[in-house]
Amino acid sequence: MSMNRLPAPLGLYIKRDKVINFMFEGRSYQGFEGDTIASALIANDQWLMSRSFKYHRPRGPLTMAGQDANTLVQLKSEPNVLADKQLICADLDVVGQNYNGSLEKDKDARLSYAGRFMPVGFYYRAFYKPKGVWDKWEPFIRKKAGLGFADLTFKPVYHDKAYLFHDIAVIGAGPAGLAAALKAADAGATVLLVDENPILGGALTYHRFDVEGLRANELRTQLTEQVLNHSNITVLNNATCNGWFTDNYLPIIQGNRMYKARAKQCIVASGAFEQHVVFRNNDVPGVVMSSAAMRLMSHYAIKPANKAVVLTGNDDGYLCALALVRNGVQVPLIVDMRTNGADDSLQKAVAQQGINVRLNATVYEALPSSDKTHLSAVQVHDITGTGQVSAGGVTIPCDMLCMSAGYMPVYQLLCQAGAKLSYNDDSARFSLTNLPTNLYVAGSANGVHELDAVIRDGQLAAYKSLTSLGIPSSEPEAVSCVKQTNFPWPIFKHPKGKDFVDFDEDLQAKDIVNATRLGYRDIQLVKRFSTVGMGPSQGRHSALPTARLVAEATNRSVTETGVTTARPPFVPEKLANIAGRIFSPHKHTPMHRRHLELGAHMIPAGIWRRPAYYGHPENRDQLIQQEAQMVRNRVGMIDVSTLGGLEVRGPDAAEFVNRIYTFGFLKQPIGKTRYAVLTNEQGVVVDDGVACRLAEDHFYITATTSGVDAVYREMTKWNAQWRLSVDIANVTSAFSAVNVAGPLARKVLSKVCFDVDFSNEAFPYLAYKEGTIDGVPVRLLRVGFVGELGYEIHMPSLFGEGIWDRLMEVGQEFDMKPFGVETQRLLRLEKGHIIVSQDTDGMSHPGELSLHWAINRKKPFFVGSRSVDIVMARQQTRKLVGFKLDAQATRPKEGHLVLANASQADCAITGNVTSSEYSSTIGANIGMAFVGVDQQEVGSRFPIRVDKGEIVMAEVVKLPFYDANNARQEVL
Amino acid sequence: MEFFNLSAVPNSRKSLLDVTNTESLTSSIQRQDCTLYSRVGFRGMGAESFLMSHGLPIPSKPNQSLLFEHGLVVLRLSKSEFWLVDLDNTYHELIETLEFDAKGLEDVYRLFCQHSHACFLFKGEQTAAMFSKVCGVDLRSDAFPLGSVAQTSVARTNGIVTKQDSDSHGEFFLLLSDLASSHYLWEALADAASEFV
Amino acid sequence: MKIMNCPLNGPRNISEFVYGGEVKTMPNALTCSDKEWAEYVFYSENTVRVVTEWWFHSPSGYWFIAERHTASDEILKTYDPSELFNKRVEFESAPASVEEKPV
Repeated sequence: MSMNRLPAPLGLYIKRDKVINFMFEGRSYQGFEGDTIASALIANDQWLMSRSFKYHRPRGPLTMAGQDANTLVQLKSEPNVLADKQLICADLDVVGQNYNGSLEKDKDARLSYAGRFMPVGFYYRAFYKPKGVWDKWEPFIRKKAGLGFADLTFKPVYHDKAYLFHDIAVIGAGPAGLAAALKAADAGATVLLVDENPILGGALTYHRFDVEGLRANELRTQLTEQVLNHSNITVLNNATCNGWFTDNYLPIIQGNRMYKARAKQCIVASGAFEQHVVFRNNDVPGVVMSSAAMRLMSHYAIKPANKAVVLTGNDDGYLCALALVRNGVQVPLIVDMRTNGADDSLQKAVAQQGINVRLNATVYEALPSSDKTHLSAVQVHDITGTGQVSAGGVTIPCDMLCMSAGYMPVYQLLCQAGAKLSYNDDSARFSLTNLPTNLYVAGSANGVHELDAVIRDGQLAAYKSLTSLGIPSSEPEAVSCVKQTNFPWPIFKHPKGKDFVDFDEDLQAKDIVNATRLGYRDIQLVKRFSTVGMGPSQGRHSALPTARLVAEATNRSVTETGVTTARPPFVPEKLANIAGRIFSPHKHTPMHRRHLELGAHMIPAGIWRRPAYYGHPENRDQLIQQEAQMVRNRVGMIDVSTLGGLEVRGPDAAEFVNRIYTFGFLKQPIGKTRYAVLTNEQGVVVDDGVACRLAEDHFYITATTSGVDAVYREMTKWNAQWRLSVDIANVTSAFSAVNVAGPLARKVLSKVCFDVDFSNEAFPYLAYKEGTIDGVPVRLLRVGFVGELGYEIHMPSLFGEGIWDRLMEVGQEFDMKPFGVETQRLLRLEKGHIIVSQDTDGMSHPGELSLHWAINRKKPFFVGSRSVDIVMARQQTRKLVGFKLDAQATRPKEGHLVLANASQADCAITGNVTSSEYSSTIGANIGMAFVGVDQQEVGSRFPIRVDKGEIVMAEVVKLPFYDANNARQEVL
Repeated sequence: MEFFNLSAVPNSRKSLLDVTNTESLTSSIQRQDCTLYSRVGFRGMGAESFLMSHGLPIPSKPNQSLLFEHGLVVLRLSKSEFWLVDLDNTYHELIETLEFDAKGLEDVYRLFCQHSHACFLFKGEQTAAMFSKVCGVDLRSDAFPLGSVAQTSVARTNGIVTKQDSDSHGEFFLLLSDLASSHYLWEALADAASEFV
Repeated sequence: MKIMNCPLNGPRNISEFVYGGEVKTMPNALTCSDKEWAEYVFYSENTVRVVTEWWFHSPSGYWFIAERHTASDEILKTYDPSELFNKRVEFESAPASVEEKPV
């Protein structure tokens, strides 16, 4: 295979001493290290790389800079890879995408001829009725119109993130960016310079700025050397700043890492995208941007063609022609769309090279080779008016056409920051205004194209940034650039179409015009209807011709029509980049190791990991019933360290607690606990717990696992207003806790805690005591919790595991084993205890939950008191009740709906099931559910719609299900 | 009720981590789990004068720390909140005494950081770079000089970071974070540190 | 990501903060009408203006107050709540009234 390359210094990106073999479409190819798939293929005369999305037209590179979707290829485990960005490596196996049969002979290419039957909006309009028709067509269309395929057996690869902190971030290391970085760094600022290419220099690495073609390389060498040796500059190359977020928060992707850069100032010197000319067959491989031809030569030392025609609307096309000739490419003709042609020196230079120039003309049609896979000639017509051409033309054989129609600023980051993009319809120039503070634009992104002006523009942006930072520096003189780069109307519609505006989506000029005729005048609606700009290149080339066409069709200016919103990400980014490392914060209790040793089935409980039960999930139901029976008949222990804990201390402690919770707490005796319900200002029950009064000025209050952080926030927020003399501390992690419950609980505790009298008289139900276990101070609460004699033991967390071990040891004698949170839920359900946020929702007020008893209506205020008054005085609509069903009946699940009646198919929904489990103690399925107020009568039955529409009838039962007079927990 | 002494039986404390105190990793960043060493915190309008009356130095502004002799780090987390962290495991008696003496004092509230927080020590030139992978506050020396304190998010969990320099440790970072997150954070930071060989 | 300047901790990523709602004056819960109470609990003036809001810095457990423009999202200033709330609030006698700073 041929691998002819041009001599050095061309080939900035490649290392010629390192040959790499790779596969494309089942054939072996050679390239050099630094080659992209596309450059290596082109070096082997393989231009065809993929097929287009809709019409399956042959496509090859357009920009050689990853700015188009024409090079999307498939790697083994990655679809939609840009062949002009992806470097080759040994064993790389590449295939084209989106074809049926082979890349060279795609059976679906005939779709191209069906184009006239697939007008814009075809899919939306053709498949929306009759109802359901889309479901039939979808698989077929997806197959025809899809992109690559995902490898479902892929193994995740390590990706991560890191913050960066700099005074100034400069996005883009072209001449403006380099100059800005140097000036800023010289003045003492720390600079982050970000560029997507392997080497710095931007346009200096490929563009020709002078007739001789010397200046760019000299300047690049000089500036990059200074930048790379500057201690204040951090360079990230091969890195893409993929968005702009408030206060210069910049996600920058480099390989498998996403940097989250935070810059005090940001200079966007992102350059400009060269724009194409719209004419028939402008997508044939071999039709490229001039900058693509320049890149092929400079970056990869590839002679891109034998005979090239240049189609231009500015002087840059002439410079491209000179570069082509210099590298051995015949250039028979420059087709200049302008009437006046180029600068005199350029005219002279091209004349010297024997290049003909045809003014006021355009390429009207590109003619493909007989196998359709490459350009063979162009048809040149005279321009007779805006978008109008003469009838006859000349055919010029060539194997490449270079287009220079102008540039569009890389405005994406700036517009994300709120900048406004304006376009002067007369001068065809863009400008970006309305930038937020601490953000600047420089270089061709700022509409400045003349090299000296570009450098000064970069320095000016640096000066402004430095001034904002308060760092003194010299002020560069103002920049003005008159260089005209944009030809105002490079659009030549052809009656036979295939004059592409958007290559990604195969949209032709008439598709855009037709969208406006169907009434979609707004550019955003044109986009959504036609899908223009929705492809992988996100309007980099389609936005401007679309805006021009819509403006013309609707008699407006381009500034009036505007362009569609540019949202992050700037280039497609992998979810892995956003996800970063595979870790998510989670909490362990001090007994975590022990649970694992005991074979617990661990489940997430909010941010915590908790034992659901001890044993294999296969035996779930059996294990839960066994653990429950152990607690009911003997004794069990559960780790309740996840319980929230709050300390309220100070002279106003009682007053504070009294204002926060619904009950009365001013007269709560020391050494007693009290149920504490928290309502929010709307009167909704948001948390509950137990308040222990340790001293006149000291409360220890438990809160729900998931609610404690919010409760703490609310408490501290209220006291920021009330200014009571009280200290509030969240001690959730400081205390670990276990609950020892069951008829034998007292015996277990008596074996380890000798300074506390556990007799029913000395330590009655709801009492609080402190003691020691092996010298460890512990807080002891006698609570109902699971409806048996039970003690909650709270100890400082670093002792949690030791106390657990000690209790397990003395518990052996009583066959005490641990039980899990699912068992606990069953036990609590049997006692009719509600779990706030499981049995309650965002509307549950105390009345619905039958919590009247827990509200003190004599005190002047508690949070939510007024709302509770109001809602409780109103007609209630639903009630939380206990229910039971036969053990044989289908057990409802949490969330199943309660219906107004069983017979009527579309009857009203009156509530839902909140808890449901089988209870071996009761011998029935039991649960709690919200039901309509007229369904709450004990003994009545109400319908629940369970899975698959089955209706089961549940009986309302008076709560609790178990031990109604609380003898077991209180009297024992 | 008897005094509920958080400093009691220091030898019975157990860390949530299954690591020996010093762990080399395969990283140039060294780290140590100091969770079992003694520490205490006080909050309230009387806390500053209480600590001063015990001869302790007090940072002049919130979010600063000082190093007292023999590895006692004094952190000031707000106008009226102070933590003492014993890094060389030599200050248990003082900390226990402070706990007892604060009892009953008006406007001095003992805090629970002995048991609510894990305490990790990191040292090595690349430590700030490691933190930059998990923490949105710039901890490099220019932005975070000795004695700085940052109460911030570290690997998506809340933490307190300070930097100090001691005879026994040299320059080091101290990370105090929720005890229940010890295991998670230790692993997350090991992963973050592993690239710095 | 936005940066907010915490009066205690300095400039931080907004992700370190929890929003606490607008600073509002609670009407006297015992004497106000249901309508007044509902206005206080449920309604907020959704207009372009400077709002005074509660914000909580989660890692340090610190509440403060921020003045923010609803259109530009610019945070004009942040300060300790003691600047607005410096008297002990009682519920027995006088209704809780808090002066909202004129903005």
